[in-house]
Amino acid sequence: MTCEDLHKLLREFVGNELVVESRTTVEVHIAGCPHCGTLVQSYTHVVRIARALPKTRPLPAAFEARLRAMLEPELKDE
Amino acid sequence: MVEPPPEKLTPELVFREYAPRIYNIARRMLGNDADAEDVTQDVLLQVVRKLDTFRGDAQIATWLHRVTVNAALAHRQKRANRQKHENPESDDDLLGSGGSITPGKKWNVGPEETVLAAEQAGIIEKAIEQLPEPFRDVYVLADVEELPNTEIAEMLGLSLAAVKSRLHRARLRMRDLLAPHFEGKVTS
Repeated sequence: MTCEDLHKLLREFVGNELVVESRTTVEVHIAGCPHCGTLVQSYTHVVRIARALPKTRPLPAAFEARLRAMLEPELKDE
Repeated sequence: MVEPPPEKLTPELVFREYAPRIYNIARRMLGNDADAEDVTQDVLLQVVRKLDTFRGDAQIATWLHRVTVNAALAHRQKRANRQKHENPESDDDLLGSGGSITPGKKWNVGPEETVLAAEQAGIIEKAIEQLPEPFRDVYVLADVEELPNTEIAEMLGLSLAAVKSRLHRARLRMRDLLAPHFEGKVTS
């Protein structure tokens, strides 16, 4: 496997989408190639940190107040 | 063990539970507060008026993702029309061919580190804002919202292959944007 081959499989490797044989080939390459090892490590971290971002944060207070005022008839209608 | 009965969907409950989620998706896709507020308002009005048609939380959550993404795309289109420089044909060229990958240095992060300090989260949000829109959409929906690629393809009107390709290139761009903050720096 060349570095270019690994680049083509990077997304699938990090997403755990490769069949065992391909996965093993990639792992063997990474073990002997510091550049690709670094690439896989940083790419994996890019995926992980996105997932660690908060999915919700409070609305800005002024906007929440405006939104509540606008939706008041609907919000009252329980 | 008996499951508690599901809480009845009321406009107030939807407001409390979903308005921040809608706002966050729109904010990340559109990159500014004013546009995100417009979209949140539009989507919330739609949902509270159709509330009787939903059977529960799972159904409404799926629907809200779809409606929020559609509203954000429509809002962006309106904005582009106003600014008269839409150029959808070149979307896939915005990050180049995707063929060049900079080697970079090892990132000093723990193997399982997932808790982000506020400062780190801010750096990541800024990097997301710098992604060209077509790539930002896919990155936000796939990696931040963790939606399946097939669902994203349907929402954005793309082929599955296009979603995967854009996601890969968006991640590589994020890696370049974040490298100065993570390379060779020890995080606690």
